[in-house]
Amino acid sequence: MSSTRTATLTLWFCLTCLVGFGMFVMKNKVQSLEKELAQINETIKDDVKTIHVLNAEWSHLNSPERLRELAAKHIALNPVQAEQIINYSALPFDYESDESNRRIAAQKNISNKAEQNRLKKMARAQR
Amino acid sequence: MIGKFFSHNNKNFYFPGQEIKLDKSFSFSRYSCESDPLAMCKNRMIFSMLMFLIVFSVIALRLFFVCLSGFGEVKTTIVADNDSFYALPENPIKRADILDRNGTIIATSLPTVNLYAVPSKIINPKKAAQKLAAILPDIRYEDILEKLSRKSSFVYIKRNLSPAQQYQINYLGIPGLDFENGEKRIYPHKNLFAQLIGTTNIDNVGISGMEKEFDKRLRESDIPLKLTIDAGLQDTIRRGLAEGIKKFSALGGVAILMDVNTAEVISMVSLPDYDPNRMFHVSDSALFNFATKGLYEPGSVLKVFNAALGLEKGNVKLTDRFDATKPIKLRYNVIKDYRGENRWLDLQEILIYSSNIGSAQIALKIGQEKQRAFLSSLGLFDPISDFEVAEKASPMLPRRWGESTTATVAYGYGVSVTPLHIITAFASIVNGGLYKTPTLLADNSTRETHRVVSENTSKKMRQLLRGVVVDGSGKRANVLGYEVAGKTGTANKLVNGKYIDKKVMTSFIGTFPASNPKYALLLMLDEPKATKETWGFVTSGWNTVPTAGKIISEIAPQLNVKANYDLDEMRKNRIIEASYER
Repeated sequence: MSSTRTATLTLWFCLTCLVGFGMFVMKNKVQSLEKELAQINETIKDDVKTIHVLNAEWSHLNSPERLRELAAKHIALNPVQAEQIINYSALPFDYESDESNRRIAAQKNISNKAEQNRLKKMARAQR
Repeated sequence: MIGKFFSHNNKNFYFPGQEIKLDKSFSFSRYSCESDPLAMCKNRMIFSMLMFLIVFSVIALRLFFVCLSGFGEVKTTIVADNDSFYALPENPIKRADILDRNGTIIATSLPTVNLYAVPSKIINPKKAAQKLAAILPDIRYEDILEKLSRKSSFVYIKRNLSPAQQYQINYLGIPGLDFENGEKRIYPHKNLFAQLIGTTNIDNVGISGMEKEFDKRLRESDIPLKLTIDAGLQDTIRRGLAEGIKKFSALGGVAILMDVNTAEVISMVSLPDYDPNRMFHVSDSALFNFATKGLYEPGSVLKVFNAALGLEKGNVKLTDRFDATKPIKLRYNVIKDYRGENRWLDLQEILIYSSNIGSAQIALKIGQEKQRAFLSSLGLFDPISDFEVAEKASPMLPRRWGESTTATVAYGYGVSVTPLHIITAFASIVNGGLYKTPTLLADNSTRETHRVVSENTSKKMRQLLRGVVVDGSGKRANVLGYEVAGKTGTANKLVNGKYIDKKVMTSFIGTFPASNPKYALLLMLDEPKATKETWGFVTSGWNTVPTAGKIISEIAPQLNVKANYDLDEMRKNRIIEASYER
């Protein structure tokens, strides 16, 4: 047995061992990672379930019927009536004269341009 | 035999193990078995070494393969997203949620645990049943015992255990009892969407409403199903309708709110209803979704379509006048007016006073063919098959369509349709003349659209309908600021082939704001009774109209409709309302 051959064999043997060991370590690591992943997935599943339950509860607590009851009990608010809403364009301003079309429009609370023009004409005719 | 390689003939041993050491000076020529006294011992040793070698090499090999392949598969779904892969766990909830247009949960599934037993594995059924009965008070001991003594290999004891019950049963440690993950469908809003959403059975399979229609979709995909329904508006409308039903002691009622431009159904209520979470002793009328399956003769509401037909076909102008001085005599029947005006009426007055005679005259003038074609284009002759609920009805039409049918259909008798048909047709008249199939699904773009009347006719119709609300039977729905336009209808019910005066279906269909319609509301009451406040009347103007007015005044701000009013109108409204009250 020549020394070259011995050296080659030893090299190959060492390489095989190294690769084998490397693979073993890697495999081991992958396994532990996969275990961790499975655990995390399990936790995610649990969390998803919990979120689902909480969402359902949120929806239940937010049901309009319940909110209405609570609002009636704790705050003194009523449904909005149309006369509580006014257009900005219809707001009367003090610096305008009594007969200005804005005043008339404001009194009638009309935002419609055509209607305002009609009123404008009417005011002009009156004058 | 093999021991001969290790023979140390005539040698002295100086240290242990020397007798089995390889002898370099060994040669077969000088060797004989008999001369080696340790041959047998050596052979046995070699044999046992070999055995060990084999066993260990098997273990090593197995170890190697285990290293390579691992123990088993980890269940993951690989999802490709922008060329990177990541593993996602399976969604533990199998049935998708249903959401309203704002994302509020309408129906959802909760994870639960089911208890099952393998009867063959149970050692003492009596004792097990006793213990279980103590924990599960809603099941009788005898029933559990019967289940546990069956010959089968699988039997459900109870579904949807509470966590406390699961813990207690687990703590009992009875072999043969086991848990299974399940889920339970729940409806957090209880009665609010009862028939519309429907319910599922114990195996989570949809059995009615949208749950049935979308059963496959809800099971296969876990993306929530988004509807056009608005929970807040649904609640407001349901409460308004319930108040109306209570006030007029009606048997039931229907309300539908629709976006006229997209034909999306924003709210759909049918009363009486039920709580889908507690399905015990639910009456048939509560299970029935009148809005999509209930057929009725709409009465005067159909005069809207009759007037539109007249205007559209060009035969009738707004200024045309019709003789309503005396009843029309046809071959089979006589057409009379309810509290008739007994004079010549124009189109606006026909709608304001809801004249049967006038309407019949228009229809007879237009003719049967055109009338049928027009009503058919409004979708009144076919079931709305694309609408997304399981319960749908096909309209009932007369077998023969003669002259008298043409006349009666003009004022709403002779054809039976569902409330959904009416509001869809009405929306297409007022929205500028485009018919769209109604829908419940958000972002539903695959729908049929066709023109039924011209823009001009639609505009005229809106004026006429506004007139009905300002001066006619719809006065009490004239909500300040929202320009309601609409038509009332009172239809006698057909009982055993006869129309009965006191039993009526009253409806109001309205749209707002009239100048640029956005929403349409249909309200219907089944058999409202006369009360003191209605002065003994049961017609629509006395019951559905004020109810609709109240509902519109509440939903219009919620719908963000711009209020536009003048103070004179407000004053006039107050006087009208005061005049109706005692």
